Amino acid sequence: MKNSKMQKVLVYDPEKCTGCRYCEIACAYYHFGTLDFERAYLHVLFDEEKCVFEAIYCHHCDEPLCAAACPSDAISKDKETGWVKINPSICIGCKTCTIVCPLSVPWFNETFHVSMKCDFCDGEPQCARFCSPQAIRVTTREEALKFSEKRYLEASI
Amino acid sequence: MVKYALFLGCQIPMRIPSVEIASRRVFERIGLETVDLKGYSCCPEPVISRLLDKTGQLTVSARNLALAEKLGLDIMTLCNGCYETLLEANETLKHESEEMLQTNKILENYGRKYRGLIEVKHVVEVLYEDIGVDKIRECVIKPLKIRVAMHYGCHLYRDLSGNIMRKPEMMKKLTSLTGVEIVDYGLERLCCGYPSMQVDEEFALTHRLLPKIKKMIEAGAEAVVLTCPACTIQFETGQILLRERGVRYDLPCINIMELLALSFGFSSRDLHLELHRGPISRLIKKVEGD
Repeated sequence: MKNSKMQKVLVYDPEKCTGCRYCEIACAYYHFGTLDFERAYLHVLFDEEKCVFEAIYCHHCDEPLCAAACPSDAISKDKETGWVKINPSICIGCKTCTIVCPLSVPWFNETFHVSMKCDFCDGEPQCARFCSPQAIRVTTREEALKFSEKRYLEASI
Repeated sequence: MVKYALFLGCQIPMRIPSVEIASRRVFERIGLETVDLKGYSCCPEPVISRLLDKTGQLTVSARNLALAEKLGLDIMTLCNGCYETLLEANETLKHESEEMLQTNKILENYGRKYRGLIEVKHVVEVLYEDIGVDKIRECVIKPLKIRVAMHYGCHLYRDLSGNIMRKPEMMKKLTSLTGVEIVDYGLERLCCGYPSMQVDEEFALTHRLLPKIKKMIEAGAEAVVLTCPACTIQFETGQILLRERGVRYDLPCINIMELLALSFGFSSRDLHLELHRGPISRLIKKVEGD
């Protein structure tokens, strides 16, 4: 991608999340026509002891490890949009992408014997569309980095 | 006089009619004129219906909005879900001309047209902004001596300004006017689990509803104050389902409109609070005595 700063990505704010999991419901229904948390491409976690939220979702990395490690070249980063997608007709289901991804985002679909991951819903991510408090939203890579740096730096102090 | 088209939604008149009764009593007392939206339908439901059929969802919402527009009134909802559905639909229709055109083409078959001239408001906003806390404080003649926990509900956080706490803060301030003591329990923002019930009932009950109730009880709450009928159903029927899992917490639910009506001096009998499915009698006894 020519200007990665302007790439559209998702960003998550745990201070706004309610843990309703509508993002997961919308994602699974959009992609598989089913209401099933296991089939969602992102996951919201809630620590009941510490009362904190976190979300695991694809960041459509500038240099995606999943694509670099894929032995069948089934994963590619779109030159125009920057979104990282798995081609299910090329994937051999070896799960290497899941292992190398720092967040283990790709998951193995037992029915189709291929790995699957966020495809950014071709430009209108359903997770962001259905998030009432806008805890997960679409922004540019530049904005997302600024937000995350602030969030993690503050948390580490 | 402040005047709105009242959108009751499905859940309140059908499942928690005491909220409708209390709302009408409160509106009359504070001088808020409402006009029933005759012929309204389900809003429809804010997530699944939109996922299933975006055009269908938008059309049904637009029809409801058109009914209010014909009366020349903005819409006021009592339900959080109806609020988000109608707010989102209104925004889409107002700002996406193609969607407005397509939707009106369908509505034409039913003799309706929506022009995008009205606004959608939640009852909490109307009470706080249009009526004002001073007027409501004047109406409180019977301060309630109970400790309550707040549950705002996910859809109340939807706000066009991006400030998710705008309406929850209004709700908290309105609640405090009734004389109750509001206890903080740390999990105010956590979802009650209602949406997850359709996906994984066990998760919804034990990892969403249960932690909330536990913390509320630990904080000394004698009731939970809500504004969303779906959350109320989850708290009331969810506690019955939790009993099957060997967990028993008898925490009563009370809608903010019912709480206001009680503090305005209306009796629980007049409000038909007995229609609640939760252990409301305990709360009534505490508020009204034996």
